[in-house]
Order: sequence, then structure tokens, then C-alpha cells
Amino acid sequence: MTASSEVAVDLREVRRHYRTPSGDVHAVDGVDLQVRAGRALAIMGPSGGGKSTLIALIGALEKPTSGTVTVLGTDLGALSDEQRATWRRGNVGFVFQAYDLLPFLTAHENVALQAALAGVGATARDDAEELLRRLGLDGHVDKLPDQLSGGQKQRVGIARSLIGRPRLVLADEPTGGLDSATSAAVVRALLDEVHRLGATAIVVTHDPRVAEQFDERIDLRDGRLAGPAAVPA
Amino acid sequence: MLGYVLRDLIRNPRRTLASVAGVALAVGLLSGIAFFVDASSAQMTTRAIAPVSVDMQAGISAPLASPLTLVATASPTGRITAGQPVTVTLVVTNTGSAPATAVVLTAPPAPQLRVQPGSTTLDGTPQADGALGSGLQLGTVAPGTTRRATYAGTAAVDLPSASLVSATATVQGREDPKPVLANTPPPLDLATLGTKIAAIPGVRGVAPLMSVDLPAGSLRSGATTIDSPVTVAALDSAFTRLFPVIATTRGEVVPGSASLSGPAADRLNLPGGGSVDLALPGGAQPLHLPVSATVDLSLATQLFTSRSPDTQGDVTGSPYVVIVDTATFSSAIMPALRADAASSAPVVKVAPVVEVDAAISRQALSSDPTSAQVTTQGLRRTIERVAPGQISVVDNLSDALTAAGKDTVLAKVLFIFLGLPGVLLAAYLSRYAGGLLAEAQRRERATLRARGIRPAMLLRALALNTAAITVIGSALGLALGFGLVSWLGGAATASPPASAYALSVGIALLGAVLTTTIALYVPARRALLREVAEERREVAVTTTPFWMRARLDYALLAMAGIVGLVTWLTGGYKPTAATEAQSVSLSFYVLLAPLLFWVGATLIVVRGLLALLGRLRTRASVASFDRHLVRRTVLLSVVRRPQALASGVIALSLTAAFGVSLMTFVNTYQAEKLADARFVVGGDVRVTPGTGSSLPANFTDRLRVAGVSQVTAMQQSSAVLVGTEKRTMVGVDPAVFPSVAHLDSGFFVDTTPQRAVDALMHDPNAVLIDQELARTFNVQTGDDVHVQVPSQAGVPVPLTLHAAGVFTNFPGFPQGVDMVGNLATFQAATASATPSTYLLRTDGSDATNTAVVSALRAGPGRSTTLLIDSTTTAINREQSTLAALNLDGLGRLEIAFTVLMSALGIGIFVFGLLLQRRKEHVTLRALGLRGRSLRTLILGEAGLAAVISLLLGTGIGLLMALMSVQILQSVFTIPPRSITVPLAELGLLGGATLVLSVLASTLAARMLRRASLVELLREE
Repeated sequence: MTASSEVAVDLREVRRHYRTPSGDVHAVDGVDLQVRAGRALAIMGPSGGGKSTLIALIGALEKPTSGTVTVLGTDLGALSDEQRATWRRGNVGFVFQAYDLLPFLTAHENVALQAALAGVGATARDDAEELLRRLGLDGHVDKLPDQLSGGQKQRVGIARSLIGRPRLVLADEPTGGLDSATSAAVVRALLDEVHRLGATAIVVTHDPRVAEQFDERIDLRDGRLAGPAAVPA
Repeated sequence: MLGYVLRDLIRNPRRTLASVAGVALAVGLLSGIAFFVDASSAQMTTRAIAPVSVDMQAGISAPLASPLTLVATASPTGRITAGQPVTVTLVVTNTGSAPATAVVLTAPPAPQLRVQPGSTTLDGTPQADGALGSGLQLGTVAPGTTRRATYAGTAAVDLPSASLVSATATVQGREDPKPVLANTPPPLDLATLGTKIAAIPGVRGVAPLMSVDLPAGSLRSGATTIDSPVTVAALDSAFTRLFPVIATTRGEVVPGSASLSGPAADRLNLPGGGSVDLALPGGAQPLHLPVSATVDLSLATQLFTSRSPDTQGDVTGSPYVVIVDTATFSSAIMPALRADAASSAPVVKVAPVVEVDAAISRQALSSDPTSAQVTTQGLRRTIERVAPGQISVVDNLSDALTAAGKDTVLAKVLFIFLGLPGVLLAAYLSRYAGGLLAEAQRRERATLRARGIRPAMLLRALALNTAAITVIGSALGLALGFGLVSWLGGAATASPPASAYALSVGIALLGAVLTTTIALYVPARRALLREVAEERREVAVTTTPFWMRARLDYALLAMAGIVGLVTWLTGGYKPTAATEAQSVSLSFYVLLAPLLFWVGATLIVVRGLLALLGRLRTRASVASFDRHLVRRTVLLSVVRRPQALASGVIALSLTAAFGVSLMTFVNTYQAEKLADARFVVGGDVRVTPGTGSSLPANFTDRLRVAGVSQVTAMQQSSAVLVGTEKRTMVGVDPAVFPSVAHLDSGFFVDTTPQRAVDALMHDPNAVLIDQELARTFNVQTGDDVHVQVPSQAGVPVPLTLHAAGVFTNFPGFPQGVDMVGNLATFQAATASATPSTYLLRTDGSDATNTAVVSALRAGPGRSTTLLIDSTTTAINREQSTLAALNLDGLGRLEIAFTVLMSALGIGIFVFGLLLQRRKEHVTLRALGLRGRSLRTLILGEAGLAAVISLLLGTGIGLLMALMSVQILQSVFTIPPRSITVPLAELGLLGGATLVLSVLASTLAARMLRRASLVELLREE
């Protein structure tokens, strides 16, 4: 493994500014960050600190205003919209705070759809049921999202993010709507599966108890890195 | 508050735009229809009075009254006691323009008076006693002069009035042998009457007209005598200038000479001049007149119709007409008629017509027929007051306007019902948009209420919001309606009064208020008054739509069925053929049934669709997304949440059905209009050579100008004797006639067009009989019919014909023809090879017909006088004015709105879906779905809705059209048997709908790609 390949995420002087009627907003303002492959990173910080924007930049959902975002060896700033979509499909698994499952598809179908999108084929699709079972959704695979609890929905979201065997898993406040016990279980399940895949995980969270399960933690305030995040002993 | 409302409108452009667009379309369509109705009403007035050649006819009630007057007075006046002396004065006046000769004054002494011997005088000269009693010879009384006779006596008894002693005196002359009683009003002078009528405001001009029917044998030229009654008409050049209904086909009308009608000139063999002798009744000398012209009176039938109230409008004149000037008629014919009338056995049975014909200023008439009728009736009363009791006025304008007024009301009903679905649809689209955007609105309201805004304030804001949308939508709608009507030529030929437009604008604004109130304010207010929590819960819960719970579809279909059944039972669908100056009968319910069916059928099919999707939903299995990922996603989305698709299908199929039914109705109407025009003309173009024209041998070939595909000749005679009755017969060429004229199966009673034509082709003596003639003479198919056809020389030629069929209508003869035979047989019998009429076939388009008419005028028309009529220019006088409506303009107007509403419906559906599902779309995009696949996903659902809607809408629209065209049964001579489907237009509408779906989906996908994924993913 080369030095560059060891670094899954490499951000250099990355800035992301938004123009709003009340003035420019510097959501991310000169961030340098390197995350090694296979590590799990928790991004913490107050609301409005730029956490979601940072994870969107890493996940190729946004383009930086300036600086370079190199993820899994690809300079994302050089890609077009369509290229970034293709890149996301093959490399990243997303877990959203609001789950964002397709409401007309069952748990199994939501996962299977992502498998098809990622092009991982029938084997991975067959793995979906097993994955869902491992995530504690045995007996719920044919239910529509409306019929699932918040924790169950998020487990489906996790299964969906992992089914394509991504090298990078990004999660934005995956436990935002969940109680503490469920949060811990969901994050544990996520990290277990990430480790099983050998993927890199970057997760945005407010919850220090969630953060302590990660290999590394950073604190992002006003769009800048404020240093390693503190977690309770 | 106002600032908040304005900001709310500006910050929610999609919601504002969709609502405003719905209101604008509703107002635009309503105002467009109303403006079109205004313009059409004006066109109907113009159309209604166009065939009226003479507006009003003020006829003298006693046309043969003597010009001599006798005024008898007694002195002293008043009550007279027995023994009181009395002087009687008798004044004779010649009020005429010619001397009165051999005038005799007769005044038998009253029994109440003892005459004083030697008191009788004439102009002061003593006369023999008893001269007055036996008849005092006055000799000649010059025009405008008076003679005075007197006698004196003593009252034998008390008399209540002195006038009693002179009441029995009379005067008479040689010219007017009928005694004129003392103290009767002086006869009305035509010139004075004309002057008085001309002075009435609103009268454009007047001209005298006199006519009389003389007995058979009255007209001859040399040795040739017309053995039929002859009509003598008198008019001057002022008349022909004012009423251009008499066309000179040969020569020139010259005062002092006679003009002959075509048949008279033909019968007397006077095509190019000569002279005639007119035998006059009453012992007068025959009138010898040089002939200076031959005239065509085919447009002058109004001059020769009955003025009698009982038979008014019936054509009474003979085809053999002599026209002289009024001076000749007054000086030579009127005295003869007076003498005849006074004789013991008058030969003239009907009193002459002596009248002043008035032309009314038509420009001054209101474009609204009802208002115009008020004006014309006022003018009629004013004319009657010129000489009360002495004249009777025939008001041809008011008669025509009465029918037009009724038809205008029917036209308005027709237009409104044709357009009403569109207005309802636009309102529904507004409501549909509001429903799709309700979630965002609820969130906003919840936030505002959480911040402490009271419900009353929100209600006020809602009212202001609705008012603002009403104002903006109304302004845009009125501009759209007026602009489209002007652009599409709805108000092309007539300008309605400003007051009519003001009313239409008012109606449209009322429609706007109702639309916004019902579609926007009421639902929003209802939602607002609920609790926030309840609202939020409702968002998540999928409820069965109101119309399904209320079984609105069943109810509407049941109502449509009941309305249709009641209409059928009450005869609403039976044709009630319109006759001249009569309105058609149009049932309101005939139009209501399609409206109810439209909504009911759409909803019930959507109910079925939902049931079908429900079954599919249960059968849907977990399946592979590897192949057909987008297709599978669309399918599952539609199957598992069909309500969104259903609401889109309702909106779009209602739009499609509206458009399809309207286009089909208009297309059927136009086809029927053309068929009717072709029935009236006979073919596409009809050419009638001037009477007496000598046609070259190759005349038929010369009529084949560019654009003419077929020519057929016809020969007609109106003097074919059946028994003792003169009937009209026409000879046609059965080999060619059917390819030029349309022989509708409905024309024949006991045969088919093909069998009728075959009979004429295979049997030279075959004849088709009019139903009325068949009934009168009890003729049935297969019977022999013995007729006498007049030869060219006027000699009756016996002919035995074979009845081959009975018909009710025959093309080219809207006023009827009694018999139709074989042209060759007809020509052989009459020894005349000159056809009277030619029918031409073109492609039927207005452009070709116009070009053909021009080519005919420039070609054969240069050397031969030709009367040319075409389907383009034909005015069907036998039809209701409804048949002349320009529905084409209305059709274009409503089709334009259909396309706009389709665009709005698709736009609302696609962007509504986009709004509802953008989170899903963004998620899929974030997960790596290609842009093209995303567009296909959006298009898949929109396209599915569009295709289902088009199929559904087309079916329902065609059924609606089938119901709507029933009203045409009573409008046209040839009632429609089916609908005429405009395939090209329907294809265009379908294509436009699909293209709009693709465009809207592409635009939606592009908007989605440009949106910030992060922002959208953060939204809860």
C-alpha cells in the first residue's frame, strides 16, 4: 500500500462559502484533514459549525469553493456532477440523519436498490437479507419504512450504505432522532460492519458517547478545525 | 399585513404561479367565451337580417279608393228643431293627379227635410229641382279642383244633428264608378305617404311599389299569349337603387317601357326586345308597351308575397311578371282596376298592392337582436301612426329579429355549456395545485401560530392572499381572453356594444371570485381552523378522497343517466326542424347530461384504476433492481401510492376529455354546416346561366376551370302538370349527379340513394317523387305517374313516368322540388337541350371555391350572364341562424385553452410531484443515480399519468361529443348520425400533451440537479 493509498481522505485548505441574502457564509473555512484508510473518525462540534458541509464535500455531494478534496485517490473538485454521482455510487455509502429511505420500497428493496445502483450484482443482493438480519431486522425485511421504528429505519439505512461494499462510509448525525440506548446500538452495528468491510468511516455526531466509539475525533467550529474533540472519560 | 401577504406571494412563486394560472385560465376562458358570445350575437343579428331585402312595407289598406271626395255639411250645425230652415252644402274635390270625367253627384233629399223649391245650385248656378236626387252631372273635375252644390229646406222633425240630412250623398266618375260616400276620409296619396315615412328618423329611404295579379291571357306579344296569370309590378329606379333585388339579365330598364321576367320573356319568345300588349280589366284599352329588358327576380320573392295577415309570407306572384314604371301603373292600370272593382263581376280577385317600401338604417340597429327588435318595432308603430287605419305595415325586420333573438339565447346557452367544463376545469386545477402545495402551507401556518399569530390574523391574511390572487388572475385572465378572441378572430365581423362587453367582464370577474373562493379560500380556511397537531397528523395519514367516500362518481353518472332519460322521454333528442323565421327548440338538459357524464365517468374510471392498482400492489414482489432499475422504481412508486397518480389522472383526463369532446363537437358542427351548405347549393358551386342565354355547345367543358373535378347539368321546369296542378320537376344526369351532390340516406323514405340513382340510370322514365306530392296524389313506388311537360314552345307534352322512390329532401332544392327525373328524358320531352343549372364539385375548401368562382366569372362568365353560388357564400335562408354560427372561432379559442390547461395540469402534476418527492429524488441522486435516470424516473410517472389520461380522456371525450351533437339534430337540415372525429387535431392534442410531459420532466430534473443536495437532505 502506497503512502497516498493509506490516506483515504485528504483535504487541503478546503473552503466552502455560500452566498445568502444576509451575506457570505463560510461553512468550511480552510480545513486541512487527512484520514487514513480503515479508520473511523467522528466529527463533532456545535450546530452550524460546518460538520455536514464537510462531510458533503468528502462525499462528493458538494464542490469546494477552493482547496483540494482528494478521497480514495480521486480529486473530487475536478469531477463533473455526473462523474461525482458515478464516483459516489461505487465508493461511498451514506447514512442520513432522517434515514431518507424510499417510502414505497420495503426494507429489503431499499437495500437491493442500492446494490443495483452500486452494480455489485446478485451476490451482494443476496447478502442484503443476511446483512439486515445481522443488523437485527430479522422479520422486518418486507416492511415499508412507515411500518418501522426510527432505530429500525436507521439500521436499514446502514444496511443500504454498506450493501455496495463501499470503501468509505459517511454518516451525518445517524443517531439524531434516536434515544441513547438505540444510538449506541446503531453506531456499534455500523462500526462493526464497517470494520468487517475494512472501510473508512466518517461520522458527524453531537453525542460524545457515540463519538467515544470512534478511532479519532475532531472538533469543527465556525468552519475550522478546533483540534481533537474531547470525550468524557 | 398587506406587506406580509405580498412577501408570502413573492416568496412562494410556485404556489402563487399555479394558483394565479388556474384563476387566469378560468377567467380567460369565461371572458373569452363571453366576448365570443357578444361578437357572435352581433353576427347573428347581421346574419338574421341579411336575407331581408325589403325592411318594411307600408301598404295602403284601400288601394282602389277613388280620388274624388265629397264633403257634405249642413247649416246651422248641431241640433235642429222641427220647422227650422237648413242649408246643405256638398263639395266635390278631385284629390287625384288625373282629371275625373263624367262626374255625377247624387244627393237624394233626406226624408227629415222639406226641400225648398228652386234652392238647388251648382257653383252658384241654379239647377232644376230634383237634379241632385237623380244625379247632378258635374262633367270633368280637374285635378285639385272642387265643385260646390247647395240646396235649402226646412226640418220636418227635430233632428239631433244637422249632418244627418246629408249623410247619404255620393259622388262617382267614369274612372272610379264605385260611388264615394259623403264625408269619408280622402284617399291616401302614395307620394304623401312616402314623404311622411321618409321623414321618420331611422328610415334610410323609401320607394313606392305597386303590383297586381291579372288573369290568364292578359299578356301577349303578337300572336303569342301567356295563358297563365300575370303579375304586373310597378317600380322606379329609386326602388332598385334602394333594394337591389332585381338583376337585369338583358337590356336596360327604361321608363315608359316594360321589363319582363325570364319565364315571361321565354314564353313570349322575347329574349331581346319587342313589345307586349297588356289587357286591362274594367273595359280599359290594352296597354301597349315596348320591352326594354329581361330581369331576374329570383331574389325579389319578397315583393311578390302575400301581405294578408293570414297568408303573410306566402309567395303569390306568377313567374310571368311585367314590370312598368309607377306613372304608367297609376295613370293606366289603377283606373282600370277601380273600374273593374266597381263592376258587377270583377275579373281581378285580389286587390292590388299599393305600398311604400322603407329601408331602415341598419347600422343604427343594436347588435343585440332583442334590442334591435325594440327599435324596429318602434319604427313600425311610428310608420303606422303616419296614417292610422289607412295603412298596414309588414315588418320584415322584426320577424327576422324575433327568431335571431331566440337563437342568440340558445347560442349563449350552447357556448356557455361548451365552455363551462373548461372553467370548472381551470378552477379544479387551481384547487389541485393548492392541494399539492398544502403541506408547505401547513408548515408555514404552524410556524406562525407557534410564534403567537392569532387565527383571526391568519384568516385575514388568507382573505388578502385570495383577493390578491383574484385580482392578479382576473387581470391576466381578461387580457388572455380578450387577446385570444381578437387573435383567433372571434370578433371578426361584428363589434358588440361596450355595454355587452362590460356585462361579460362582470360575469368573468364574478367567475374569478367564485373560483378563488371555492378553490382556494374555503379549503385553506377549513384547514387553518384545525389544530396544528391535527394538521400534521393529517399530512401523514393517507385518506380516501372525498369523492370516493361520497360516491360522487356514481351520483353524477346516475344524474347524467336520469337527465338523459328524461330528455329522451320528453323528446329533447328528437329533431325539431327549424323553418324560416322560426327558432329551433334546444333543451337545456341536452347540454347538462354530457357535463355530468364528464366528471362522473372520469371519476368512476379512476376508481377502477385505483382498484386495479390495489390488486397489483398486493401482488408486487421483492424483485431485482439489477435490470430495469428505473422502470421497476416507477412501477412500485405508482402501484404502492396510487393516489398521487390518480389525482393527476383526474386533472389531466378531465382536460383531455374536455378538449376531445370540444374538438369533436366543433368538427362535427363544421362538417354538418358544410353538408348543409352543400345541400342548399347542390354541389360545391352552382352556376345558373341567365334566362335566355344561348349557351355554347361546350359550355359544360368551359365550366371545368381549375379546381373543378366534376360538372353535372340539371334542367328544371315549374310548370309540369300533374293532374291539373302545376308542379316543379328537375331532370338530372344519374351517371354524374351522385358524384357532385351528396345524396343522404335520410333524404329517401322507401329507398336508398344508390337504388334511386340506379333506377334513374336503368329506366329513362323513372322519377323520384316528393313525399308531399306522393301523399297528395296517393303515388307509391312502382306506380305510373302521368304528367305533361311543357315543351320549349309551351305545348304540354304527355309523359308517363314510373315512380322509383319517395324523397323528403333533394340536394340543390332547399325549398323543395316535386319530382326528379332523368335529364335525357326531360330534354327529349321539352325539346330543349339547354340545362338551367350546373352543379360543380371542388375539394370543398373555401379557398378553392373562391378561386373557382373567380375563374368562372373571368372565363365563361365574360360572355354569358351567370348567377354563381357556392357553399362558401351560400346563405341558407331555410335554416336557423344557429346554423350560421362561427363555431370554428369558439373551437379554436377553447382548444387554445385546452392546450394551456393541459400545460398547466402537467406542470402542476410534475412540479407537484417534484415538490412532494424531491427528498426521494435527492436521496437517489446522493446514492449515485444518474441524471438521465432521474429524468426518466420523473418522466416515467408523468408520462404514465399523461398516457392513461389521454386514453381515458379520449374515450370519455368522444362519448361526451356523441351526447352533445344531439343538439345539432334540430339545427341542421341533414341531422348528424354520428360524430366526425378530428383525428389530426386529436393527434396534435395528444402529441402536445406528451411533449409537454417530456419538457416539464426535463425541466424538473434539471432544477433538481441544480438544487443543493445538502440543503435538501437537511430538510425534515
